[in-house]
Amino acid sequence: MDVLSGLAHGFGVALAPANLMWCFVGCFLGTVIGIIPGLGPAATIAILLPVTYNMDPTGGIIMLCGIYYGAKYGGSTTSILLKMPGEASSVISCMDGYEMARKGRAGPALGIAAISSFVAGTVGVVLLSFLAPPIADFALSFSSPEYFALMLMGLSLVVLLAGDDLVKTMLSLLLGLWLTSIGTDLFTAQTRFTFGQTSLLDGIDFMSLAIGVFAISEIMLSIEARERVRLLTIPKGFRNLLPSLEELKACRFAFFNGSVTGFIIGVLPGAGSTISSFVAYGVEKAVSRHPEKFGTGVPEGLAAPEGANNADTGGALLPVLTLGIPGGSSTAILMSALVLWGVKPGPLLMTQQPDIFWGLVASMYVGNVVLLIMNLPLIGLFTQILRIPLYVLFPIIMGVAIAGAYSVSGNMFGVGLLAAFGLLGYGMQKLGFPAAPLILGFVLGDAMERALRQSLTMSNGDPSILVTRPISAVLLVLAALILLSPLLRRLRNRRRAAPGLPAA
Amino acid sequence: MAVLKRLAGAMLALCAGLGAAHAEDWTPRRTVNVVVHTGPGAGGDAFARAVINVIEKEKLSPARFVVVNKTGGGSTNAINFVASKEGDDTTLAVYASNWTTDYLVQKDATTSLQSLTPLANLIFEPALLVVRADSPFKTLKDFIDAAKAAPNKYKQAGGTPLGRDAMLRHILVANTGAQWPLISFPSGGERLSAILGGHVETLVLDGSEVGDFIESGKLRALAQVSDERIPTFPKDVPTIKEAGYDIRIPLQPRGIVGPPKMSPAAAEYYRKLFAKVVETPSWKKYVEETRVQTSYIAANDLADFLAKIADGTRSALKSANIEVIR
Amino acid sequence: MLSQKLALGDVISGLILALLSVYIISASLHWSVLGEMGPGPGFFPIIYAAVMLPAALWLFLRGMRGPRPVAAPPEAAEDDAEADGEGGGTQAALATWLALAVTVPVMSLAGFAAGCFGLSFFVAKIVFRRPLLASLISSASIALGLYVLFQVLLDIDLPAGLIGGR
Repeated sequence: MDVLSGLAHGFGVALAPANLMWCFVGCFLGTVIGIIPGLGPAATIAILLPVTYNMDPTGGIIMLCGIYYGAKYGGSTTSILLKMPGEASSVISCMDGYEMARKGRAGPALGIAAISSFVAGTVGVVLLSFLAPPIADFALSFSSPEYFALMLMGLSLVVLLAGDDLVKTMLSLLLGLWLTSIGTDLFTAQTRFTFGQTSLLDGIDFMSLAIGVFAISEIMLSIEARERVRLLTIPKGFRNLLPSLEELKACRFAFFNGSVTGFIIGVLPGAGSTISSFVAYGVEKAVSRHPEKFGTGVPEGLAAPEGANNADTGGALLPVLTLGIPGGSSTAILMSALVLWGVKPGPLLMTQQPDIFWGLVASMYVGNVVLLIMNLPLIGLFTQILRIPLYVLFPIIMGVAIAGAYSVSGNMFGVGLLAAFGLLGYGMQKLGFPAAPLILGFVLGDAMERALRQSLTMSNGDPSILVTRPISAVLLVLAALILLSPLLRRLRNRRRAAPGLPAA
Repeated sequence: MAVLKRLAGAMLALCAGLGAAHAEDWTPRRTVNVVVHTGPGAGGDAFARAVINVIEKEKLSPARFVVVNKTGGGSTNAINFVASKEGDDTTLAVYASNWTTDYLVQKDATTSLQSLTPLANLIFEPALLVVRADSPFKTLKDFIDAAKAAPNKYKQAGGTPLGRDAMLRHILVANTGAQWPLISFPSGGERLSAILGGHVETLVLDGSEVGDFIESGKLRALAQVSDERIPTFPKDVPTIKEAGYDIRIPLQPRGIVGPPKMSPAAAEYYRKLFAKVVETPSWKKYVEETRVQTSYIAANDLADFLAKIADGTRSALKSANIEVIR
Repeated sequence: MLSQKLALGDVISGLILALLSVYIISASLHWSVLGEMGPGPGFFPIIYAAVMLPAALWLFLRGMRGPRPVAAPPEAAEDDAEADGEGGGTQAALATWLALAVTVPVMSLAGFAAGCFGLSFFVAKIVFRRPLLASLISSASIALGLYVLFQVLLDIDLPAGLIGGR
């Protein structure tokens, strides 16, 4: 069966009324859990799995997949409105999304997130339908040295995330690296930096850190600034609810960048959507003509990561469906669901069970449309959140954050960490340390350390393995380019601005 | 959704309760919490939900069973939580092999599995030692001999050094004089892509992970990691013993324990319950689908069995130079 | 806010981070750094701590020499400008944080709803100086609403108190 007739067959399956309904149910549930931090797609799918046992496998997998990619849509909503990421992959969307909302462009920001998610999500599925076999081979050619180079490239993006002060940016990043190494070492089972706390043995949860550093500290800053009545300007009128043509134009490249970056990184089992959203943001800033405006509410700074975390879905499902390899926890549960229904994901799926494969792929085209149609009218409703007076809104944010931190960690210690990170984020802001590098270091550090140690174990300690393989060499050159360009520019500017001071 | 599920569960419990209440001397009157050490979807959690699913489908108990995820420090938080529920008749826990291992190596793991109330062992998870299909190694002996001739040249992908796959490596290395490193990857997906991409030579694949990698000609199995041949595995693959290596096979058991000092009546109820579980058609279907092996060990033999597992693990850890503190 | 002679924030944070990096290095040296099976648990921390130490010291020394003539990062500058007008802002922010921190033991003792009510009431009555009745009503509905949303509708476990209540 070639791709087009396969897709045609798949649409026949996906548009059957029952499957269409399951697709809708899945997308809706996904959007809801996406909005709520601490309730992720992995846990939801696991909990709903028994309910689907008696369903038709095609309908069941369509619904569970809908939850998976629907959560990516929903994750950005609270990032934009409240600077409280609903999912790990929407953390970086806080940067420009929330700033847009501060400028009174909350509606357009939600619109751009939805449109970008739709465009990139669809591109991801198109790539999944047409390029699955060659891309699966590409994913397998990635090994630890390549991952190391990829993570190093990701870390080099920090110079782009940097504020004015490079030393503080570096320190913020390094602090993130330290926080991520707290816990039990995978290679030796050695506990590191846990201070005797059993609750720290599994490390610090990313959502507690991100919500503490972003949402809690933002509340403190608002209270400090005595924003008495309302946090943000409330968009008024239809024009302020949807993105303008100029804003969409500014996002043209971001749509493309988010789609491609998200898909490629999504395919790699060792990376994941959080990393892809960070890289897409960095790439967007690197190629931008006005990088200095990033972080002040530029639409492309929101469109790129939101696109990336949705294109990632198509990418992440590719190794599951074609190789039987799940990359993250959500895809692992989706795969175990397939196995329970007697479907064997892997090289034979496409030919032996075309109903499932093409039905699922086609349902993702449908699901992306469903999500767009569902989300655009909701924008008006969501922006009403900003009408809530602050003395009500702030406790709600804190209450939701506490519930999220508790449900992720299962104990009050996790809530204590949330509070501690809130203070850390506030202190960093007051002292001029940018928060984004801390988050970046936390996200990439763990994967980078692993890749480095895996590589050196593979080569029996010979570091040349890191630079002699073609893909990793290319990535390292890219990293060097990213590192050097703004550094040179910075150096020049510094010299001009402050003669007599040594450049940092 | 959750409300509906809860309502349905309550109705079910009520109906079943009317029928079963008189049959037993003791029945749980509250929701039974089943503690697992993993997050939703991962090994222990998936197993617990499968067992609960069997109990619900076959209407074996009037009570509602819910999974409680106590993650943190491998099994440490979960086991310490169960120990803190001393005397509670409506708390159960699903143990796995790391419930014995963590106690041996982690300072904070102060509760031993043997100190809990043994109820039943339900399964062993068998595994396959695999190589890529185009690998020069046709038998386990080929691989071991090559790893003896060129120490540290070949690699095995694995998870933590305390996992079953790592234990098997420790034992094989200690018994054969061959040498190869274990490369740790955090997820099964990464391990699989490492071997499929040819970045490592071998891998121990859990039964539930095998999928159709062997049938589709991507991987080749060298040996079954099990004491006897497993019917759901490819027929022509020998066990490790049959392949010429008479070593102690590290087992991956999963079963049920209760908190310390559970009342004898309640313990008796659960023992009967789980003895019934493994006889049902739903259970048999589950076992076949996930390629695990039913291995019911009744409570009075369970304590001995767990002690034996702990001893085996202890010696394997010592041979791997991992510090054993208890 | 900053002294003319030295940038106090930079001095203190530089010092703390320098101490942290020394701690990281000394802890890492207890673990295997390069084992026979490849790099050990101490390998990576030593690398980043070795970069952290000079960076932190640089920040410390730079702070001792006084505030930088170049503008501080834009977001910080903006917040300072807003805060400087009214000195009570910082106190209110820290009080809010303290209330959040106190909520942790309160919830362990009395459960989620009670803790959430206390926190909401503090924010409404003390921080935002709303009338007593409005504060009571809003905090009671927030606590109840979140409890219903998470515990009842979504089946997510909330912190349960030692003395009962969730």
